[in-house]
Amino acid sequence: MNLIVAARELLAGFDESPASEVRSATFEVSCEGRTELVTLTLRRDGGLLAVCSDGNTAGPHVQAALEVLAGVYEQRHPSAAGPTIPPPSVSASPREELAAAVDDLLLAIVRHGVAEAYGTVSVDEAIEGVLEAAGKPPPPGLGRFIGRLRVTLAERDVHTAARLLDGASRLVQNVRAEGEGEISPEARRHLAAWLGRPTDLDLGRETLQERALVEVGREWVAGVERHGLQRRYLLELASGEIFAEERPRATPGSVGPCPRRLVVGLAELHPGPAPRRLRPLQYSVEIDLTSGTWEQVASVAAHSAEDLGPRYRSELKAFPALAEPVALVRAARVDTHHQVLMTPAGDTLALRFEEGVAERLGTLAASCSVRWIFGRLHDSPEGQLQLDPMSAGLDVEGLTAFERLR
Amino acid sequence: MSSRFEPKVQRLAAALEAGLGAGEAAPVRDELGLSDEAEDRVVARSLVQILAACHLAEAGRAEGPPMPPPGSAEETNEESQLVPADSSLLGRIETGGRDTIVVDELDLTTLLGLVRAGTLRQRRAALRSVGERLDSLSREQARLVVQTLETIRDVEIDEDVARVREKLGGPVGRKARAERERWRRAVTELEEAIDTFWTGEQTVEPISDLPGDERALLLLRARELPDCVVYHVTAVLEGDDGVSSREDRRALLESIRYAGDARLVPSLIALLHSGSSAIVQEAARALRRIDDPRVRPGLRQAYDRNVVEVTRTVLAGALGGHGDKRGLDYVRELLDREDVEVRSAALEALETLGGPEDTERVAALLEDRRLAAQAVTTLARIGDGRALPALRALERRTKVSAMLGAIDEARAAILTRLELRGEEADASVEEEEAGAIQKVEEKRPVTSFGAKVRALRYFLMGQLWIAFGGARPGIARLERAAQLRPEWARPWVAIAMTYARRRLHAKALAAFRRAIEIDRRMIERNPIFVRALAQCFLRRAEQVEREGRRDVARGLLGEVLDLDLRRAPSAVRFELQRRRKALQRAA
Repeated sequence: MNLIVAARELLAGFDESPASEVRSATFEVSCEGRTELVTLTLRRDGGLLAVCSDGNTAGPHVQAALEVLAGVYEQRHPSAAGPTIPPPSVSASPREELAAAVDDLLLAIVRHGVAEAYGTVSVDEAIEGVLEAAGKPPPPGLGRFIGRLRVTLAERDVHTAARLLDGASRLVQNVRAEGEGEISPEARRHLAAWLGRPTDLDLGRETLQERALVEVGREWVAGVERHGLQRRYLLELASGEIFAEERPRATPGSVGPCPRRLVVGLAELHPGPAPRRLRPLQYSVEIDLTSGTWEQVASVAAHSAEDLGPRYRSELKAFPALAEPVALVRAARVDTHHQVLMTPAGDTLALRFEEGVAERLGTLAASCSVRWIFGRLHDSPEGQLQLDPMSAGLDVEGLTAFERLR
Repeated sequence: MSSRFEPKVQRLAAALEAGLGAGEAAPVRDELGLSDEAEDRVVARSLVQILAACHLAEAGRAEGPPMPPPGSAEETNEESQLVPADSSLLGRIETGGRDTIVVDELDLTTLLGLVRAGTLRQRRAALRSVGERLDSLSREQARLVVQTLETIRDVEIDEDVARVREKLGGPVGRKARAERERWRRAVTELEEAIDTFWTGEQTVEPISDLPGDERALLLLRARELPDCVVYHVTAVLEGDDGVSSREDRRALLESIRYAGDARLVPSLIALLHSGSSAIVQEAARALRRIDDPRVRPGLRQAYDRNVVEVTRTVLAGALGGHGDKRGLDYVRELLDREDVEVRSAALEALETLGGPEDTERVAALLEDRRLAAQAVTTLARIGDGRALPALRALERRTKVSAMLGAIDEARAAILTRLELRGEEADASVEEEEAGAIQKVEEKRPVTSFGAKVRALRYFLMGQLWIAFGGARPGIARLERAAQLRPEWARPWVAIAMTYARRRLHAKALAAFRRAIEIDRRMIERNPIFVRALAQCFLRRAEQVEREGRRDVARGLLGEVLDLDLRRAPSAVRFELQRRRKALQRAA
């Protein structure tokens, strides 16, 4: 049983009796040697807000309060067992409006054609319609979709536009299915990735504890505003998985430069498209990275390009418009002029550079060897996988030097 | 994808590219297997779903490109195709274009001329080449190098000049190496402070906590800084240190204007999109001085999207520094604007964009007191001989030492550029230049011989007392010496230096003022005195600013910047100017 759903259902259930209406409940919780007050409030849109007196919206105190309510709920509703993936907190009616606006956008672009759609009045109006229906600020997934769509239309990239619009059409289908009460767990996850917000309590997030992460790349990407989102790519040294910490321009993220080593005491991990979003809550930062750390980074990098294709396809298939796969790849040789990387396994991977990056990497590669490259994965219209480098690990006299390329 | 379906997918992709509204939708409906009555919405959804599915099925399945054999790269980059606009020797050195002349092919005299009057790229390359040749130079040539480096006061190439000086023998080399050693010690201390900052033991950002001149010196040599210090700087610049205010970030950004370090490029390019005009301008100024292939595309993107006049002009100037003159016409138009800030930015941009055809318009702005200093710098960079009479006229009019110094530098740069281009300055101008050397001696009060001897005795006794730690009796004797011989500035300088060593900057300031009243030129020409004076004014300004008396601080900085500080260290001069601008902004 999902604790949040149970707590919400229990509080909302009191509405059945006209004499009693419970809007919030407060618990005094002693945990880990601290006593805090936890307030659970039922929001107007049906969502549940949990706030602890230490300012946190998650943590052991909140968890304990939710467990109490879930226990009461299960006593009152013994049949309510088993895992449930809750719907995100936007109510159904605005969602229908949003779905209609997204559908209008899809139609406007297909009518104009990708070659001509950028900057046309009807497409711009359709985008505005989507943003208006989404509310302010729009959910990060939707915001990033709009940013990518604008860039794709400006570049007249039919191939990517089809993928983005396919994702949008699935959003429309899922919202309508949800309205009709016929939604699958997968579709719910899909909706949560599009319309969920980091502060939503019912996103079904996981936590990550006591892990060492290394930031291997950082970039500003388009959200609703151009260069409106910053992404920090954090490599988990034990598993080799790369997470993304995302923050809008005006919102602070975790502190520290790129590169840095982050020892995370507690972090939230949001389900959704690759790379999975991570929000460090308790952490310490080291900015002087040792050669041992860089060795660990190199050891988890992909030694071959062979596995990248299947992973790329599966990540895109799960979230066509939202997944933005990244990869850390070991390099045996790099030719920036012909834009190709050879892995230690002997296979090759095409490189795709932003302007000036190839020259920079070429200059560096002339004086030292490139050990690995981290970057975003793309595919060409011919089906070739391409790596767009963001950073590189260089071997300078036996020591690894990090170079942020963009 | 099966080849059987390939033409169909191509047709559907073409339909999505052209749009259903552009042509007949019926064939697309047929391809998608939809009836003629199917709504456009249904067609649109089916179209993108089928196309996306087909593309995804193929994504990443094609083999990677073949790896060419080592050394097979061909030189086809954009720069190699450039033909220089200026086909003279000066216009072809280190341009990276087709007919480029590399500095290593040049003789020493030309190289030294280039150090004085080339573009930033040329000056850096020339200094590198001079440094590499030092071991093979004759004693006469080495002396010429030392003399030339003595005259270089350009903060943009401070680090490059320092590197050459360190390789020299004799006192110049020793002094430079000692300075480098001090710098290394400061870096080590800073590394420790940065470490304690990130471990949370210290809550104040360590670079902003440094005295201004130390911070400036540290960051002028950023290219030599260890990676972790640069990473820390980028964290502050991008607002990821968790403590620095926007104003702190801006101050740091100003301090790295001359850093020239490619490791800062990603952060600086990110700042170009920050939305704050002041931050964008400073980021552009810093990028202008970094020789890196990523800079030009970043600046170009920002220039094309920016509509704020001053910001766009600074971006145009930065692009000019990288050989991209797209903003030239825009900048020229702005010279006619009323707004001083806009015209000043346009003049700054013409430093890199301007050519001889701009000389007359820029020289006309020497008449405007608010723009004269920037116009002099721009004329020096343009390097056209037609500017010399206008500079001479300004020299006659002005009494401000700093302006006189700037004119002197500009004239030297122009004459060197003319020489490098194989031109000659107008004969009448040269005569005037020679005439300019004759200076009118000021009448000074006459002191009797006996008073002079007694003053000298008090002076020496005072110095002796101070040398043995008796500051108070020493200063009393120096004051007596100054009373006995009022036209003699040395006692006041000695008093000022004593106070400055004891960090009594307010008292030192008063003594320096007395000395300046008596013999300003003597102080301006002595590197030790001028260094102490500049540092003293800077430290005092920092003190009063911390006390909240910003107007007083601004006044102090204005006063010292009116002096000819060419012999003061670049870092101190730069910090004085930076701080004055910051205070002017805050006013």
